[in-house]
Amino acid sequence: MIDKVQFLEPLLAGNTETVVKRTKEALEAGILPESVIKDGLIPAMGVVGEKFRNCEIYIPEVLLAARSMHGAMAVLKPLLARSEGTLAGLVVIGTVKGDLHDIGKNLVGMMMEGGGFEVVDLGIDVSVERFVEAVRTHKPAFVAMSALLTTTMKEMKQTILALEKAGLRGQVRVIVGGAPVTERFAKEIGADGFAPDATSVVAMLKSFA
Amino acid sequence: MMTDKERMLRAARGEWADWLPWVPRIDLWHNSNARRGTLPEKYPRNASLDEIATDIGGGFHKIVPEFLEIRTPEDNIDRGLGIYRLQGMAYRPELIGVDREVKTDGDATTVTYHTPVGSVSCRILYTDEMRRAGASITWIDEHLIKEPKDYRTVGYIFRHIKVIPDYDNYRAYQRKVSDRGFAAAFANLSAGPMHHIMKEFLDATAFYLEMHDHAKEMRGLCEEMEPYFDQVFRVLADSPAEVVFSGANFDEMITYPPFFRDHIMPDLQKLADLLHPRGKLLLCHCDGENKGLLDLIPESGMDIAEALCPQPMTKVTISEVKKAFRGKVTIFGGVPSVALMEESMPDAEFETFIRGLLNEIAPGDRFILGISDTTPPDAKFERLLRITEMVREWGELPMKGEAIFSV
Repeated sequence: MIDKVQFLEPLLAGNTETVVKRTKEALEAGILPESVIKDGLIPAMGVVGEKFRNCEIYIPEVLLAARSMHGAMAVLKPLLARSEGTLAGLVVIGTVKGDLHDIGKNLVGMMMEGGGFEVVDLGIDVSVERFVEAVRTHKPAFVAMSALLTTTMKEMKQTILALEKAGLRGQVRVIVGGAPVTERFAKEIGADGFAPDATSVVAMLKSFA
Repeated sequence: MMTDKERMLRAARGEWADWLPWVPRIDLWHNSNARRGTLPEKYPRNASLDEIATDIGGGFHKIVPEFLEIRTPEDNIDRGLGIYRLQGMAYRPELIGVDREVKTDGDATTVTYHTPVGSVSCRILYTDEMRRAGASITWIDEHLIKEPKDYRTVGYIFRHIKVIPDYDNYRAYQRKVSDRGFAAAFANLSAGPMHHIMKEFLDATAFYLEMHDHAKEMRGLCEEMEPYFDQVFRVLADSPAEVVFSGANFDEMITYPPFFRDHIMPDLQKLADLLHPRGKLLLCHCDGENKGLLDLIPESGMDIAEALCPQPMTKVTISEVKKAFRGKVTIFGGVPSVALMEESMPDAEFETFIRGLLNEIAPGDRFILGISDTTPPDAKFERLLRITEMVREWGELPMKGEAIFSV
C-alpha cells in the first residue's frame, strides 16, 4: 500500500535522495510502478500544487519538489515502458519564436508533470515549424505555448494556422499563456484553452478529459 | 499651467497637480517601427522618439536608461555583471584588478573576467530578430555562475568595483529631458545583492534551485556585493537627481512575498533612508503581477511604483492597488499594453476600458498615467492620441469620476 504521505514531506523539502529511496522501497515491496505514480507521487504533487495556489509555499519549493519527482520518475519510467495509459496525457510545451523567457514555461511544465502529464519541453525560441514537427512526431494530446512579450505572442496564432495547414489541428488541443496573453486573445487566435497562471493549468487540462 | 515635470513630481510627492500627468512609454514601439519603416505616415522616417512623444501630447518617459544607445563598447560590455556606464547615468562603475577578455562571434559576445581568484565568463546575445522586435536590452544567453567556485570569483569582482560620481553625465541627460518629465537616475535593475544574483548571474529556474543547493555561497556573494550597492546608493543620494530608479520586474511569483520581504525591501528601505532626507524619491519598475506584493510595497520605502499593470494583464484592479497603497505610493502606469492592441481589445472596448480606468483613477491624486510597461510595436497608434484627448477632457484634478461616463 502506498500513499502520498510518504512522499509529501521529502518532496516539499526537495529531498530527492529520500524520494528516490522511498520509490525504490515501494517497488521492492512489490508495489506496481503505476501505483507508485498514481497513488503516491501524483497526489503528493497535487498537495504541492495546492499549497502553491494557496500561497503557503512559493516557486523555490515547487521547483525543488519537481526536481525530486524527476528523480523518482527516472527510476519508474523504464518500468512503465510496456504499460500505456498510466500518465494523464502528453503535452508538447515551448516558448514561442523570438521569445527567450523560460521561467513561466518551466513552472507550467513542472505543474503539468506533477499533475500526471508527460511533458515534452521544446525549450525557448521555438519556431512554428518545430511545434508542427513535434506534434507530428510525438502525437501529443496538448500543445502548450508561452509568450512573455507582446511582440512574440502573435507567433501563437501562426502556430495554430500552421497546425491547421498541416492537417494536425483536429488531433491536438492548443493552450496558451504568458503575461500579455488574455482570455480574449486566446479566443481570438483560436486556442482551445488559456491558463492565467501556472497554478490553474492542470485543472484546465483535466477539464478537457 | 504646470509643466509635465512639475505635474509628475507633484503626483510623485503626493501633492495635487493641475492635471493628471500622462506619460506614455514608447521606446520599444519607436525602436521597432523606425527600424521596420512603419512609423505612422505623418512622421518622417527618421522622426525621433521625443518628437513623436511631443506630438502625442504627454510628458517624456525617461525612466529606463537607453541600454542600447551606447557611446563606446565600455558602456554596456559588463551587461553580464549587470553593471553599466550609460548615457545619463549619475555614476560610473570601474572594475579594479580584473582583466576583461571580449570575443565577438556574429550576434554573440562572450566576455571573460580574469581575477586573482579565478575566471568567469558570460555570453550576451543581440540578434536581428531582437532588433526588429525593438528589444531595448541585450539578452544574457550564458550566465556568469555555472559552478559553485564561480560565486567567489564574482564576489571578488564586486568587492573591487569602484563607483565614481558622474554627475555631469546625468546633468546633460536632465537638460535634454528639460521640463518634459523627470529624468530618473538609474541605480541598478536589481534592488540589492540577492535580487542582482537572481536577475543577472543565473538562469531564472536555476536561481531558485541554487538558493537551496548553494545557500552558503550565495550568502557569501551577497556580502561581497554589499559595498558596491552602498557606494551606488550614496553617490545617487548626493546626485542632482530628484528621482532615483532602483529595482525592476517585481512580481509575486518571481520575487514572491518572502523573497521581496527578505531580499528586496531591506535594500529599498536603505536607499529610501538616504534619499528621503535629501528630498529625493525612490522609483521601482513594478511591471509584473503585484497582487501578492501589494501590502509590502507601501512599507518598502518606494515612492513611485512605475509600470504598474492592472487587469486584464494581471489579477489586480487600480482600485485595489490604490486601497493597498493607502496614499503612500504613487502609481505610474495603469494602461496595460494589450489595451493598445486591436487583437486583444476591440475599439469599442478600448474606449470603455480607458473611461473605466480614469473613473477608477479619480480623484487622481498620486497617479501618473502611463503604459504598463511599454507601448507594443504593433500597438494601434491612434489609441495613444485618444488617451491624450480623454486626459484633456477629464483629467483636470481633482477628477470627477462620474463625469467620465455621463458623456
